[in-house]
Amino acid sequence: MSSENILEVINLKKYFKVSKGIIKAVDDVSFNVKYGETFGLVGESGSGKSTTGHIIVGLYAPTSGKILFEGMDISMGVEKRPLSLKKKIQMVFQDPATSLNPKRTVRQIIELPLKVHGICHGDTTQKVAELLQMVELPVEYMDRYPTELGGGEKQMVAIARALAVNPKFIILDEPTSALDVSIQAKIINMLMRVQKEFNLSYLFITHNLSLMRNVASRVAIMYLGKIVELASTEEFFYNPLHPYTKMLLSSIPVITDEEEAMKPKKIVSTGEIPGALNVPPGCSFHPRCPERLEICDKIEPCMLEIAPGHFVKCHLYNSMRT
Amino acid sequence: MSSALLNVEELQVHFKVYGGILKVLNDVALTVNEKEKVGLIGESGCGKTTTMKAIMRILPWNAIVPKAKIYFKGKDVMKMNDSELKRLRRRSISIIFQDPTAALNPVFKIRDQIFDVVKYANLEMGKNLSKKEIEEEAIRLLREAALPEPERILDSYPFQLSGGMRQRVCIAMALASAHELLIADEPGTSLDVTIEDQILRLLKQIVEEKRTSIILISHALGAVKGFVDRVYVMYAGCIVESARTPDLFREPLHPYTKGLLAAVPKLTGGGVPSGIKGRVPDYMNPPLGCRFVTRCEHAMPICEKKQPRMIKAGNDREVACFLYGE
Repeated sequence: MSSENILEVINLKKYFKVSKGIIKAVDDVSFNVKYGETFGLVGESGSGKSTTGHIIVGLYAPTSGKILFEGMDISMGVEKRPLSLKKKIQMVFQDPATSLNPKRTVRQIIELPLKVHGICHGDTTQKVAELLQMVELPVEYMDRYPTELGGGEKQMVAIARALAVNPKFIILDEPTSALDVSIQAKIINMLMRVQKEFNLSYLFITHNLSLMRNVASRVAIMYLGKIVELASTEEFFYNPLHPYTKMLLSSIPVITDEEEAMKPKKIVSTGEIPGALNVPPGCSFHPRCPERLEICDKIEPCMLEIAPGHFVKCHLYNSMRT
Repeated sequence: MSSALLNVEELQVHFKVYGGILKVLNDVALTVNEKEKVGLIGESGCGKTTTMKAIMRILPWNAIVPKAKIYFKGKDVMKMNDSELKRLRRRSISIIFQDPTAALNPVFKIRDQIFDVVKYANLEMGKNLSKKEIEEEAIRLLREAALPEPERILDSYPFQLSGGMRQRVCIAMALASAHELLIADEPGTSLDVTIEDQILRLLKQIVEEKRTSIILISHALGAVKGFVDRVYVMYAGCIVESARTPDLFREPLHPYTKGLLAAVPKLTGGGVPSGIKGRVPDYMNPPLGCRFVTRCEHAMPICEKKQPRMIKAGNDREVACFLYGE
């Protein structure tokens, strides 16, 4: 294990048994997150990106595979994890309206982790005030209830709660998808500032590629439980390889001509994501793929490293294998 | 104007709630010409959907309309009686809602739902279709909405279809009765980007082929840019700017529009923009003057006292801001 990675995910699998069969929500996913970086996990709904986040934070135990956090094996559910480990990994959920208890005040919400982890005893006012300032909320909000706050402000409280225990690693699961763009910008800037200040590592889960372009240092794309392409952000946006990545990029609504010029041409979005129960054989993207080869519906492609740090899972690049 | 299909002026809508009265829409004015594609953008809660509901006269019971001038093809919608309204909704205007799952009844098959729409839309035009003709028409509409195997779709319940397919069913239903104006209220927002792209391209193709007008409501600026001819920008119940699409995106005038455009993260990188400070005003006690005054960087003394009116600011564009004249 190299010391530059805070998190390593190796061949992670999570299967769910349902009445009609088995759903492979996460199917053989591997990636790592370096200290102090923002790793972006992108995918459409049902691609398994949130499940991956939930496994890392311990909400589910994986079916198989390993997760190493600072070299320590943490591939178990949250109930088996030591308290000191839980403190290091925190999570911010998509919808702040449902992730905050409506019957608790902001103070009560933020002080709970402080008490659980024994960071603060007795009067927590000082610490809660510091945390509110850190997320740029007025201290007077301390005794308000979540319903009295706007959507963006609620998410700020959720972030303050995650920061309360001095974590090293935060999983951000679509933290701004439920919010308006003008508020999104504010929250993202705050997150970036806090990251620098405390040298945090982020796993940023989102479906918004334009946002990813601006926050992540490396990006992985998931499709039906598998990572199909992984690269550094620059490489990813200027040299997308996987047909699905190209389709995603070409579908993004953009507002300037420069952005329009960046979008891959000659590829239009067709078809829909099949249900998780009947994943197509071979490459799971082949029914929608405009560049389909004969082999694609038979054999699943393996992950190839096309350029240093640029991985793609597609038969088109078999000949380019290094 | 002779070619105006829909003309809305001085539209005010208030809502009676427990704590008082929410003054939501404040003198909204907009025009849609024949065969024109119009966009309405703004953030959540700014009154986009309320405006459309007021036009269709389907506001909820607690809504109060103190003032409104709504003309559809020169006819006063506010003065229409029940049968005229029915005619308007069955023949002329139709809405596609944001969430297709909520728009379809979960306990009826698509067949039952679309048959009703087709039957009454045609009845209004004096055509009493037989069951077989209704089925043919329904299948034709589903095909038009680019749905494969329409016969199978007819026999499905909404939960058996994917989100994208449900939205296509809603589009097919809207097509049955939208002969003059289609209102698409965030048609792709609840869908994935690749599917949203498909839906928007389909809608554009349909309105261009059928030469109907469309109002596309969205908070996604990019989705509007590639679609419409003219854009209205709404903030806190007021229209603050209107312009032809390329003009608006090239040179936004109102400080809110500028802030909104700047807040969108760009695919070309360049870091995360700063957003707009502050929050949307409380509708219970909105600012007396310009409703953006609490968040505006250029706020002047007059902005707090007087409401800016829409003034002409160039070719086919208007802006409601004291920075530009008055």
